[in-house]
Amino acid sequence: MNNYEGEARSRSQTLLIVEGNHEKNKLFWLIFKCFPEINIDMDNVWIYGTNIYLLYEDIVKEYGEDWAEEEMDIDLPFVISKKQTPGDLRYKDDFTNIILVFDYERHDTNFSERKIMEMQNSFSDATNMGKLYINYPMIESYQHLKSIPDYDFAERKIPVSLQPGSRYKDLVSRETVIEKVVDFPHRIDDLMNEHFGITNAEIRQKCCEDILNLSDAAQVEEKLQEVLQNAIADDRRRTLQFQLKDWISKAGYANRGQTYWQYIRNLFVEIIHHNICKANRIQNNTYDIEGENYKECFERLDLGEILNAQNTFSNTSTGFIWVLNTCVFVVADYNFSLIQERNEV
Amino acid sequence: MMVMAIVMVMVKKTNSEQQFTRQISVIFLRQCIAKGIGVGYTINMKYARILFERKVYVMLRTFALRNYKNFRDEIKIDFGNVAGYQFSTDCITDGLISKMLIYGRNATGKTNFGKAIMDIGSTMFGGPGYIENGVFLNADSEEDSAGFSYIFDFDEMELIYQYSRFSNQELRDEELVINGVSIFRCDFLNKEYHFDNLKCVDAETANVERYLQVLEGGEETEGVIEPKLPFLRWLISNVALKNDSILIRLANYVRRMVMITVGNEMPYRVRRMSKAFYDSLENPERLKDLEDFLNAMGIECRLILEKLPDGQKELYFAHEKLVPFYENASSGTLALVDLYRRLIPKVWDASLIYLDEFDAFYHYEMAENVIKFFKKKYPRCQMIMTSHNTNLMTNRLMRPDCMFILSRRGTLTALCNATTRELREGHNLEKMYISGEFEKYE
Repeated sequence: MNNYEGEARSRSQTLLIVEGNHEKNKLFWLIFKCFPEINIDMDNVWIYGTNIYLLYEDIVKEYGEDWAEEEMDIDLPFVISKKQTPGDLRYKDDFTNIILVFDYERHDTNFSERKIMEMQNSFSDATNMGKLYINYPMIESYQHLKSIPDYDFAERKIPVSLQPGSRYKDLVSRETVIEKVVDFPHRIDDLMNEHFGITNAEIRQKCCEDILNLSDAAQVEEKLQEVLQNAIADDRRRTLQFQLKDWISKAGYANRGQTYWQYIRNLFVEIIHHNICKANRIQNNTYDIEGENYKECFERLDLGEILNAQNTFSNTSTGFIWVLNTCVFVVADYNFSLIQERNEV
Repeated sequence: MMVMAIVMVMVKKTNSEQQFTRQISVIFLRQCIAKGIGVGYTINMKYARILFERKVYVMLRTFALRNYKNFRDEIKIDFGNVAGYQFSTDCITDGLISKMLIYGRNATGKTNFGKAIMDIGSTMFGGPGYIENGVFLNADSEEDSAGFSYIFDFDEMELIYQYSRFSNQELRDEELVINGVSIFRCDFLNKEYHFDNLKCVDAETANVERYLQVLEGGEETEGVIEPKLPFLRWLISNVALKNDSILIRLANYVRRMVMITVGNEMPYRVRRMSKAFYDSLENPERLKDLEDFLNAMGIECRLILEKLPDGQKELYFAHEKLVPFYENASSGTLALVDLYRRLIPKVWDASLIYLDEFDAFYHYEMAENVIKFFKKKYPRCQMIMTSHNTNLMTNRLMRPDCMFILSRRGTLTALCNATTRELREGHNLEKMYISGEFEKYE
């Protein structure tokens, strides 16, 4: 037996550095699902939960205090793997995407305007060192739309005094039109699991997939029967079928002749549009963007400038924070044409 | 003799015109000789200028290949497939890609592809291509022939020359199409010949009967033993075509196609082959030019050419003691001098250059310098370079629509088409390539 084959190199991976909250994984799972063009397989996504200031300290440990000033080439997979799995070091050359998503959370005890600014300015290319997306005040801001379109989003801000984070979450929950739709796949899974006792995860997953792919309102009942045929006993199936039909109709995708994924994709295109306009509002004082300038406008956005503006407005106790979600820009950064086609939602 | 006189007059003109007129004069002379006439045409400068300006517009737009060596399925190179990048615009000429870089794992066929592109040269003019007799057809295919198709842009015209061959020596069929009109079609296998539209290329006087006789072996042709003489070659050498004829311009382009394989040249072979080059270096200006070139590319040295007692010339590095050049020069220096020898002292500029592994021995900075030099010196020349040097995979020098990946499956994909990601100027393409962004097309 020869032994020519060396260790296979696993590349083409994605590193997602987030604060570790399930919500974020849910968001990116959804984004990668409904924009299949982005071509990221969830199995190839490596999620690392941390806090931005801890990550900052890890970088300092490896590269020294002046890493940002000296414009060092930071290898985040290396920094992280060295700490987490010292026996299995990873390098950025194996990653096609490195995405960092953190909350602004000004009231965090470790908050430092300088450090967060250094991070923002250094991490600006997802295909290379990585790109940092900061959400203001936190990740939930992508759900903070009261209708679609939501003209008041242009001026939506929250007082610095609104803390801790759970208070903002509650506020979003009260006002959002997005949350329910986004939660839909998880809700039907829960329904089948907890209320109807379909404990086999594989069967449940298959049912969910089929349900989310329904796109003809007239056939929902018939199809549901097919889908659930072997998943649950007859007597309970009818109740579940009835309930699901009601939910699907409320979720509203099949009524428009769309699958759940098509519907949610259009919804994301709108969410991203609102946030691009909002970012433009913060950076350039104009919310509305003419159709033909849309891409140019997006390319001119500077996340550093936006952070700077947010810092300025929020550094007194009576200050405020603009509601803005930048992590949804991942899609626009990948390929702007993905969000250029806007359909009515 | 009149022709000679005209040449003398025109030599006074500017450098590029000079080169050009020399070149067309040669063609013209050849034609006159071929036709057995010495007078009858005069070329004046105005006419030459028209020719000159037109010549510039001949470019190869696409080349497609099928069932040749490792390429079983069709592989196509489309110089017209340009994306709208606003940077490195010097890689594009008249809307076509003029500077192209091809990457690919070992043994994906980068050299074979170059040989295939050059095939049109041996079809139109005969030559070394016919001597080589290795494996020609794809070894996994049952088809009996390999297909070659060339589409050229001539001003507003489109010329397609396509043929297929059983082997290096034998054509299966051949067709010339101009603006959608089939000028001629020869099916050598079934002996079906169509010469219906020869008048479109002003070749209606062609004595096709005579060609068919030659084909049947009735007559020896120029000592080349070749069972199927390509009709196009016969046409060009046997018919009195006008100097601005599309076929003469095509021939002019194809004659100036060059393939250079840097890595495999043996220094001694180089030396033997380059007697003329040595002779030219006797001119101090030429020697200085070579020295300047080496210095500009990053090799600091001074050169001296000495005449030995036996009359031979020898090139030396000038130090306190003279150091013989070829025995002592580094691989990189030798490769660079060979490149210089084959391109730069020529009186004509190449139309298309296939530079295989051009920077195999180069420091990364030298590789960059060479590309920059090519861009400046040969802005119109269609250059296809293959390389393993991923340092060159950068938007500073190239652009995503000009860099290609040749895969093991025999597909050639531009970087911008090898990912759904929108590639931007700021992207680090080298890092993306290494990390697997284009994995599906490798």
